[in-house]
Amino acid sequence: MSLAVWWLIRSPWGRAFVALRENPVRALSLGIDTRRYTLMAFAIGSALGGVAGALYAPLTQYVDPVPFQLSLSLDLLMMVIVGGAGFFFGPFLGAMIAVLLPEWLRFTQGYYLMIYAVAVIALLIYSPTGILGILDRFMAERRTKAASAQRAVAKAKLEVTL
Amino acid sequence: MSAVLEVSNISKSFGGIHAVNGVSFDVHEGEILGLIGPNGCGKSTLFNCILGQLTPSDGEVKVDGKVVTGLRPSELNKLGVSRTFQLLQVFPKLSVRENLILAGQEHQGNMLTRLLGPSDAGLSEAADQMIGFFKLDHLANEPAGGLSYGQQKLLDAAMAFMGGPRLVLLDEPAGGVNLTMLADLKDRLRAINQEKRATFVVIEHNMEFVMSLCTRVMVMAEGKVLAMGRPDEVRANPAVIEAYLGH
Repeated sequence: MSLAVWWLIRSPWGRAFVALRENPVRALSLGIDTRRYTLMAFAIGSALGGVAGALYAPLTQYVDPVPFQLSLSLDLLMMVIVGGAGFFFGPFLGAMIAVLLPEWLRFTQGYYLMIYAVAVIALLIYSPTGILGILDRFMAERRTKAASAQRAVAKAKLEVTL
Repeated sequence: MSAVLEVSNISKSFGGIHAVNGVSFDVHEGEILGLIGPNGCGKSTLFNCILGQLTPSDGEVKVDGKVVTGLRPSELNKLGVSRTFQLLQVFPKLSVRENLILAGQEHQGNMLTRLLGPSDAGLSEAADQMIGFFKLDHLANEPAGGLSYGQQKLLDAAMAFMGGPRLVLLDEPAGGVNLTMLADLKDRLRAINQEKRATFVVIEHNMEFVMSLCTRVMVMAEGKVLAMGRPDEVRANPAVIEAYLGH
């Protein structure tokens, strides 16, 4: 399933989805049928949810609606936001944190949810693009610094030549 | 020469304000038409009406003789009509090469081949040629958001040409671009115009740029066409001097 999603993201469809998210007006002007791609994104997301549901049934040997209440949807959304929306590994990281954090914070007993909520709020203020967004920003800053250093060297060489 | 673009009596009102009021003009194959006028005279609204971003209140737009009024921008792009925007509209997280591939990918194959085919939609070579043409070689793999304003403007213009358009509408391509890059941009536009017979309509406030690039200039004021003619004729027109160019 992950391989299929990885293929999708690196295909022209994936690029169109990024365009749709970043700037739908420009995407439309480049011939991207934003209505069709939006529908496809919704359909693919729903299909992935359907596959997960189909895998869940044989795992638990019993299906009832109680685990599928609003809180599960919010938990899943939180995983994507914490890990980093728009990054392939974002939901993986978010899911890992959401599963492991209660274990790590077991010693806090009843305060776990409060600490989790404060941590998520702090994360959203500092980095709305999640944990992988912090990493991405760090890498971008490094690239900018390297490019500035290269420009400074080139400028110095030019001044010496002149 | 046949008319690539025919605009007949286009009007657009926002409430009681007539942003564009009965504008008509033709653009012929291979022509570069400059569109000038003071801020707020309706140039960008006219562009948006032609390109399907806005629905005109009245009038008709034809491309290659076919009525296209009311078509969506994506459908117009498939017919060979491309554009740039007044404000920068590149995709900052995608690399320069990916921006260009994205700009051309919808002209390749169909939805299924774009899903199952190669990730570059077979456009890597075309994108690299465009990168070389606009002298962005050293930045091909850089995220577009990290480029300088002038470089992003060049990329923005390059993206408009990836689908091999017949008609390109450029909205202030020279705005914020330094003199060296401006000369490059003018050279590139002229080369594409001559080599590929692409037709341009260019909105611009830089008079030197417009007068030296365009074959014909249309002047707008208060939503209407004030004057139309060769650059030297327009420059000498008393009404244009009065309304826009000044003394």
